Amino acid sequence: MLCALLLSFLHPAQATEFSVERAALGAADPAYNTIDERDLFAGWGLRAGYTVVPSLTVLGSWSMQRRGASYDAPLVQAEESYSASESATALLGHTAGLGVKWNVLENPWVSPYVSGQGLVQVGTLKLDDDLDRDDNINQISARAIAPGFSVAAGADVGLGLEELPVRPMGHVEIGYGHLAALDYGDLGALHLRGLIVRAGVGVHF
Amino acid sequence: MRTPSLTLLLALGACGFENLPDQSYSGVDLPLWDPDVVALNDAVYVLLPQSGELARVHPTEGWSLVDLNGLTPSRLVAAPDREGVIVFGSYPTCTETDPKIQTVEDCEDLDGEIEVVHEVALVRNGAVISSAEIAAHFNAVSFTNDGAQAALHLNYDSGADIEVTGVSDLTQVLFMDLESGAITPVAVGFAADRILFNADDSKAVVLSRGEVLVIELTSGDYDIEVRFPLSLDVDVQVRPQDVALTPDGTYALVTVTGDDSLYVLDLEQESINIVPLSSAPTAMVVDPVADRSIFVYQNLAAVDILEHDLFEIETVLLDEPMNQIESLAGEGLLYSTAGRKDAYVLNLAEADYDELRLENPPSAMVLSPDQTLALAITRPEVSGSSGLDAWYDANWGVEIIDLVDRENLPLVAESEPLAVAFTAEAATPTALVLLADSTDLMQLDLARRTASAVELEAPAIGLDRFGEANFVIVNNAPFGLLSFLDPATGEITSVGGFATAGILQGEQPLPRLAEEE
Repeated sequence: MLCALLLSFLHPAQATEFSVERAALGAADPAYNTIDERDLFAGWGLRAGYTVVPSLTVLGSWSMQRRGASYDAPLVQAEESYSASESATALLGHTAGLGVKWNVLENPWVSPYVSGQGLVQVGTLKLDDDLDRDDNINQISARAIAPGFSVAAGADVGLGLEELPVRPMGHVEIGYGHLAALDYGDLGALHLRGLIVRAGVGVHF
Repeated sequence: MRTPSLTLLLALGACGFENLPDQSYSGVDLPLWDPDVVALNDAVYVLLPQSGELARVHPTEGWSLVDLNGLTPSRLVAAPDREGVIVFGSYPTCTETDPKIQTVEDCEDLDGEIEVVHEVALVRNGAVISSAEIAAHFNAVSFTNDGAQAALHLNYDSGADIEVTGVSDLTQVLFMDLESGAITPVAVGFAADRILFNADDSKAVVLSRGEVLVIELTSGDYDIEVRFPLSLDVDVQVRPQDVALTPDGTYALVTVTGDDSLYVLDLEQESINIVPLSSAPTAMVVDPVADRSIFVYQNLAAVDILEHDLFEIETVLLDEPMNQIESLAGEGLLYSTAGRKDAYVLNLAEADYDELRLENPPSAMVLSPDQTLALAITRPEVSGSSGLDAWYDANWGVEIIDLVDRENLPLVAESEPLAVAFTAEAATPTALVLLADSTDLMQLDLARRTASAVELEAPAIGLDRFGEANFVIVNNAPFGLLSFLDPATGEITSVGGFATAGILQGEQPLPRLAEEE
């Protein structure tokens, strides 16, 4: 693979791809229930690829996730229950990836591939216990960074328009993603890992 | 390139708190924090029930978590000197010892059973000094006068559920040395629920169901010196209601629920003298200056004064029955929380009183440190009056009582006063009043009879002393908020967010696993 990468710098590129994609990473960690009832940390992003040798494409990706919830916790003193003001929790993530894609079969209609990416995620946890106040003292923000990886199998889907210089294409892939713990210190940690699903549309040229 | 640039701008612009995403709902069953905080001299300690943690909150250092070695705290009791806090709690263990078992969920998945171990820990300056396993039912603490020792026992009347694990020995009291944390169990008889210490802390007087014990504390052996049965007939259950020691520690005075008899126990001669009172008392106070005791009655407009030489009673008739007493060093302030509006300053030596008439019936009374002033929280009452009197009757209030000049000044409050406290500076006597659902803390200048407001970050629900002269105000905020007030300057420092500790709660670990292996 290293030789292939070296060759790619010596020879002109054979194809470039660019797409907008929807990416979702499994989040079965019970701690994630504070952010979202669903077990998925999903968002929109961009994927770019550069074919360095036939069938082998270097991939780079970035996606942004914004998930949040209305948060309710009772505040009790003695036998009285105080109704809490509206609180919220949110996780804002930026995930960057760099890896390769190997198209097992080149076909103008469906081209199956396997891919692997190294990932880095920056996750910002935001907590606010009074959404009605802009200057609420309990607006809490904490940031953590976690490396990880993903492996997936999928397919590039074309319209058979191989003769066009700029071809509309789509892709869909499914696999496994794993991020190290997003450690927020005393607030706790998030372990985002599990099924990963990506799908997108874009162009190859 | 137009679309990606726009996406990037939107992403950067979404970093504030103005438009947080909200696609879901999340909630927890337990409160994130318990507003019944414990203010020690070094910091304020807060239970976090949902995360099972103990937070230490300081006005300048912020907040941190106390490492309790996996103990989930359930109750805090401050030592009298405010130098330490006793933490009751528990932690889970698994009956199986498979190395794969790391969490409660692992234990259940591998057919193990979770057992809960109860423990008490002594925390000082944010660190555990000592800890010891205890039975689940211990729920009360009594302290020696010097604060050096604590006695842990069962208080059946606490209202809390009494938890029994296996077979619990309800006859035990645990004596805890608050310096070293060492615990010594002593068997004292069934259901000990009241413990007193004599003036020099050499003896403990323990009330249990139907009997009273005296335990010596000086040798370290905790020997039972005296055991008094309150009734010679085993079929007769005598239930002590209240107990107090005379100032010289020679006699224990025991009142009995629903009985007009006062049991005077001679702790040296080991004898009992039964003194008839005017009725079954609702409150008893021993005054060390006058060396007399005072007894008041729910439905009898009289007060009994007991002298401690011959234990003779002098009865003073009142206009209205009183059910509460505050000791005033040679005098007693009598008032009623049962809807009466009279209050009396009783001179114990002369058996005479000055009568005060409050505007509304009091619900609580607080004395100034020098005992020259009292503040009564008064509650609304059903009014048959009209005009200004009717308006007074319909509102909550705070009444300033001058105990020197024997006069009182009623003030009307906009909402229920939740707590009142006096500041330490005697030169400018000031009281703090917390009002329900208000973001203002009222400061009453008691000399000038003026009020000013200090604005808080959020409505307050509690007030306590902090350090030598400052106060901590407990605010109603879901993620936790404490305001530290310096009354001399009016400066407030707020610390919030401590209740978010552990908000990202994953699987519950078995904290003592490594230790057991």
